[in-house]
Amino acid sequence: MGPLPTSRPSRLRFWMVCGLVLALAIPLQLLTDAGLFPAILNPYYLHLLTIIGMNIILVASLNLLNGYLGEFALGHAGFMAVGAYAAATLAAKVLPASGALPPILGTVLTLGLTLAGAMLAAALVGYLVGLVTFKTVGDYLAIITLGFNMIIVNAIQNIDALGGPRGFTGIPRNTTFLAVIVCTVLTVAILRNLVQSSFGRVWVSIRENAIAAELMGVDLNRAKNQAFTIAAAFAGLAGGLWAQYQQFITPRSFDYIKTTEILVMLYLGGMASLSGSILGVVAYTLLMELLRNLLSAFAPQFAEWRMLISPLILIVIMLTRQFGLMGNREWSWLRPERES
Amino acid sequence: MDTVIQQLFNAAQLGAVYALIALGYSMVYGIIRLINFAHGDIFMLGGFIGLLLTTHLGWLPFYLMMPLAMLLTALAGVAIERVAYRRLRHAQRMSVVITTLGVGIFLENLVRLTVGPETRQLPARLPTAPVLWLQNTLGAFVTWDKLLIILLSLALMAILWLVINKTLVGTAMRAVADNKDVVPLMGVNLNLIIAATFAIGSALAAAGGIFYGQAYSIDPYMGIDLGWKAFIAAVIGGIGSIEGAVLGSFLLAGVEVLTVAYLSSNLKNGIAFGLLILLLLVWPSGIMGKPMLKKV
Amino acid sequence: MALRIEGLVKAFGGLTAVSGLNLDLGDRDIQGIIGPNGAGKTTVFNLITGIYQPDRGRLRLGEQELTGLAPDAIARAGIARTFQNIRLFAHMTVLDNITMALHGRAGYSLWEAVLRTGNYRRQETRLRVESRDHLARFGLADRQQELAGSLPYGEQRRLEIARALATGPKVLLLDEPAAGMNPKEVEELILLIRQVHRDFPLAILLIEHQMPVVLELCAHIQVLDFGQTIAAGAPQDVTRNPLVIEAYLGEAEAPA
Repeated sequence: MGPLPTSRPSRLRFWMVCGLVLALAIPLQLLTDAGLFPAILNPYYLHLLTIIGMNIILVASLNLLNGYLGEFALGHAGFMAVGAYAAATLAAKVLPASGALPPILGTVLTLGLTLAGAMLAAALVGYLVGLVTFKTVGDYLAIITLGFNMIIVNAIQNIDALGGPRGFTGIPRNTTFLAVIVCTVLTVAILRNLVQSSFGRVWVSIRENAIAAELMGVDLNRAKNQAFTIAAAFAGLAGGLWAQYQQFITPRSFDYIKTTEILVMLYLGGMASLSGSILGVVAYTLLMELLRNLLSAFAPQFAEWRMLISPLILIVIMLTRQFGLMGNREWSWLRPERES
Repeated sequence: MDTVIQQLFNAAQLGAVYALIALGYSMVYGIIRLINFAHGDIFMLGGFIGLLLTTHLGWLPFYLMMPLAMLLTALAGVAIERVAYRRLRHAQRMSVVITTLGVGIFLENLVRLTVGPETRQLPARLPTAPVLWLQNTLGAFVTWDKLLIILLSLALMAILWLVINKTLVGTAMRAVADNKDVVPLMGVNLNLIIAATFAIGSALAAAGGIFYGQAYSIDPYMGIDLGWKAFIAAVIGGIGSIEGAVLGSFLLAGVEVLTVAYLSSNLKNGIAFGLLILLLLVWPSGIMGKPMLKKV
Repeated sequence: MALRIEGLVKAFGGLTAVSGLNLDLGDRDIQGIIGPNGAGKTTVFNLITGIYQPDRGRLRLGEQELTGLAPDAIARAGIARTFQNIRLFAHMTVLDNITMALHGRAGYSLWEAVLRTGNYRRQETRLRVESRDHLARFGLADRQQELAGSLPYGEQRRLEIARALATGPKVLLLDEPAAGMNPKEVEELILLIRQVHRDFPLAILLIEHQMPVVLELCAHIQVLDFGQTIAAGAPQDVTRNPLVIEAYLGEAEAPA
């Protein structure tokens, strides 16, 4: 064999895109905070971008399971709940009690610690759920993961220390727009690195043909549980960001309606494609906001009717474009190096 | 003593409603291997159609209102299958299941936005006097509507059993459940059989919705809650099995009623889901389901 | 001795699919198992690879006991197989099908993959070089970026064999490799199997319906009927065995 084609452009391009996103995010945050150019740099846009970032983390991590691994997991909001409540407890109860942090580093450090805690807690729950779940096959996996989602929500409702059904209040607002964007870029980079590695090839091979993969020496349970734990950790990260952004969380906001919303964005964007996950979230979020603004401008009494549009979009996508906008395809900057 | 018997009647009533829903899950799964997550919302829709009929056509007696509501819900079920599921019959399984989730949320929001999110009571159309005979012999306070709901549900299940085992449609259904591919070769219209399955399942769910509205109350969200319980019951019994769905429903209702009566009502859902997961681990295909064989 | 099977029994319900199979496969042997449809041939492979657990009997690979191990453990011990109905990773590239098979020797951890360390890059480059070289040995070098599922049938078979060999097995099980092939493709297949046997240090066990393939390749064959071994030995002797002729009589294809 001759020397390998040494094309590096896509690797460069990937980091250029990531760098560009961060380079834009920093002044955006600073300028908006300073209240400059209020007409263009509206906090509302920043809010939208923040929501988009958190949803990209959720959708891209679920894609690991439903797209790459090819399992049918329906409990992502449950892991998000674990992360949200873990981060809320740390931020509102544990860290304030543990003494004063240096003032400048304080927010960054607090956010780092709470998010690490959120990821760890969600990963642990994801790992345990995975252990149980992978003894079952096919449709039953969908049932069990959705069942666990409900058990997690039900358990939180029964824990008074977490606020029970009334919700968890008084969470400090540590999440900033910039923090969300940094987390989003890191999540996409890590997931890209993983799916392009040997681990990713093993996950996709399980989706393609589990028996053949097993007979190539793949320990199916171990490989699936790796993916499950990683996906849960990132759902926890999104939950941790969300809790410290909203400052108030209730168990009901993590029930299967939330899982379905994540699924809608995932399927809109397309399976096994990180580009799709990004595109799906952006398209869905903007569409819903557009509908909300249009309806409240022209027919305020029907503003709530956009709740009917979201499931309709899902059904129409399933009927017309089964592989979503970007199924199994990537933008060039997200492609593996030697194929570009 | 009397409380135990009353609890048993409570469990039987709840179990009857679960069974009417669970049968639809199980029949559809048996025939096209589809978990129809929208089925719980069909049950909810049936309850609301019953509500609309009793409020707007108050002169309709119960024995006409109920079949009419069942018929309308059956039409809705068939229409949903025709529009949303049929084209996906040969698509990946995931796409169809996702579509059923979408349909479920659509129905829920539709009812919430048109009728309103409030909890409602179905106007009582069944006698609510206590059954004196039971009071005198067993000392149990059981009302006529409760007894009628249990008996009517059992009657519906008996009719279903007859349809499946003694009619041509039923024979065709069982044939499709056994092997979908050979049935069209035998001159049976597959679409018709699948439509009939959705119609029967939806009609039974509507009956469940009306009974539930008579016994308790209805709201747009009950499809998720009750639908899930019924689904668990179907899985416990062995999804795809008619007898299993009924058995699992009464079993689950029994466990739930006992949990609420002797432990805590907060634990009800946790115990139901815990039971489901435990059961799937030791008995992956349910009590009456067929085990799967790995084929290479 | 590479693979030794002693008294293997497997029943499904009341039906005995394999009853008391014995087999000794030497380090460099090519052996065949033949028999009419439904004789239990594929069940034997499913038992060897751990997809089914035997009711009785023992499996050993060299000195290592395989009985009761999970399929992935048996694969890692050094048994690879192909399938009668080809099981490629259809939506992965031809190259990725091979590189995936090298997953056991990837040489980096999950954390190194997350961080793309220097070691990750070196190992990944090595995996790609090895995969390309491996594909080239099977004449598939110019197909590497195509999706495995889009290859023509003959090349899919070739890729499946190449993928099995990429795991570095001591024993290769081929389940009806000539199924669905025309005579010319069968000839190429025979050449390929010879080449594999020459170039790789392994033993081959072959299930085949088409007698010419078996007669051409195997020094020793075993005939199964209703899960029982009805004859074993050199191909010329076995095909003259009256029991074998009788077992095949109901079949369209009589032994050659």
